Amino acid sequence: MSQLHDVSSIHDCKIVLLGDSGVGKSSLVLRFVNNTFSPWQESTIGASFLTKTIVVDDMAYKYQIWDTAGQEKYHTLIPMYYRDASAAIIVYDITKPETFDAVKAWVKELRTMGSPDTVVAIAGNKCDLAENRAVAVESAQAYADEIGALFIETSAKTAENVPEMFRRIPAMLPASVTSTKADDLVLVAAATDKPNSESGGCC
Amino acid sequence: MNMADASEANTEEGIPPIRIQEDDASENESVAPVVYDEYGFVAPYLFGKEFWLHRYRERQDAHALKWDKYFVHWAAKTGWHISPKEVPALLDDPETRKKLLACFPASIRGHKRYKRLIRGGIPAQYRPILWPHLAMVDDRLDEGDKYYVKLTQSELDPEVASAIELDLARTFSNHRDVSPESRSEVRRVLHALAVRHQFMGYCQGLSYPTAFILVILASEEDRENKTFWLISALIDRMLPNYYSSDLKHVRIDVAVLGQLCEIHLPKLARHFKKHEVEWSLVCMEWFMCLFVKSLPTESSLRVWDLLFSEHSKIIFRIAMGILKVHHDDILGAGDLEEICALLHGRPRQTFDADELINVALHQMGRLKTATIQRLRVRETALYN
Repeated sequence: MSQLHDVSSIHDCKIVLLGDSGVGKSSLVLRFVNNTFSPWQESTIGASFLTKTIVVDDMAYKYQIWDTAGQEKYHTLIPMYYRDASAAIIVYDITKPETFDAVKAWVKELRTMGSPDTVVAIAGNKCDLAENRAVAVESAQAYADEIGALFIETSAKTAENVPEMFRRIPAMLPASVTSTKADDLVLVAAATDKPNSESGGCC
Repeated sequence: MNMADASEANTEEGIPPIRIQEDDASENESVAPVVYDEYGFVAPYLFGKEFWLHRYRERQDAHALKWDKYFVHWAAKTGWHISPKEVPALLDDPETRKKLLACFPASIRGHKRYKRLIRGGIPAQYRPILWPHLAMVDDRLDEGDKYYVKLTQSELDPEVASAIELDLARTFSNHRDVSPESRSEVRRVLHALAVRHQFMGYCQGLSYPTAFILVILASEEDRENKTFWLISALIDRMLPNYYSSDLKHVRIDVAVLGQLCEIHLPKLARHFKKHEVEWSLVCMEWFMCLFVKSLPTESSLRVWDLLFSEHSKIIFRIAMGILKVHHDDILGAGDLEEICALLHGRPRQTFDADELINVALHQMGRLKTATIQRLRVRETALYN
């Protein structure tokens, strides 16, 4: 079944994932891009790069997703990936409060070292483990509101809210539009040919 | 060691057995069956390559005979006359092994014929003996594992311990024989390494070489202690300070690789520049994990033979070798995404270890240690 969207152009959108080691950055990306999940996702050494084109409100976006290593030692590598990012998704693990502290440190760093145009989304991942919750939804939401960021709890494991999180990014972007490539139209048609199951999981 | 098993597998049918195990194929995963190599790692998909594999094994068996003759040669120099057929058994017995290795002259590591033999591959059954010999940790191993055990019982910064814990379950999690016990071995070795190398603590990536050596030494009783000393030798003497707190030295070497590629693989370097491929994206994982996360097992083993004998220079050669083997495909990739996919996928398909080693050592032109040092000095000056 082919759904051809009436889109006139594709907007490139560079997204960087930040956050502590083991919070599920790579898992969120792989869930979003390939709709797969591995409980023992290998650690990311350095960084990795994936893309996915999606259509939101009849606008096509080519997400260029940079997934980074979480360990502190790799920190010096990361500025080159968030430098000109349209959006940063900062991920924490809802069962580990120290990973939420790291979110605040990342926000601070982005504010001082990053581009003022980079919008921020905060993802409280592993919401399937709610019985072990250590970070309250309310406090994360309050913090996100305070800094003007999107907040959403996700589960790469069950897929809950993962597509939603990525689909809500365009609405946050500044009105000024990114580059346009007419020849990418074909891609959009192909991408929408096989819609991913986006039904949220459970919890 | 199971010397008999190893030689049997190679001679009986010619083609070594490949274990095939069907995995639960969920709807989202490819339906290809998981194939393990003889070390239990997930192998690249080699169906249709059985004959090639058979020929590779034949070459390696023939090469192993040269090793036996080499031992005979040095034994004879000391007045000990043995036949090549006796060598495997002599090396299996700890007492005669020691005597046989003692026949090597002190200068052996500089001998051309020795180097050539290593470049052709150390026979699988001799790696547990020759790796420690090359790494010059035999004396440490003779002392037993008291020191190692003491380190594993020493207190470790809780942050370091939890960083180790985080990586245990996801290091080679698809290995055939992975178990709570195998993870405990990795945990203990990483703990001891972190205690001994305070400057390093634990650095993400290191779990891979550690787990890899433990698997390769699986039949050795003192494999933990041996792995600990082999990795320590790499950290202390063979590599720049890759695992330090800010990864400065590995980042310098990443930049050096970029410079070397401009000299030795200029088309590729231009291609990467055009598509804004950062060098760290190309080779960070290769360097940090010393290729074991990226190459098939046999290729990794051959690279590690060289690593123990020729040290950090080999890292650049192998990195360029991988890029050269897949040169045309990478040049054909039209954008960053395609290039990244190739850089991620192709190393895993570099199963022809002979080709990789040959390209890395003989088709890249001269690579002087002095050149590498000069580039390192330059990149150090440019670093931040």
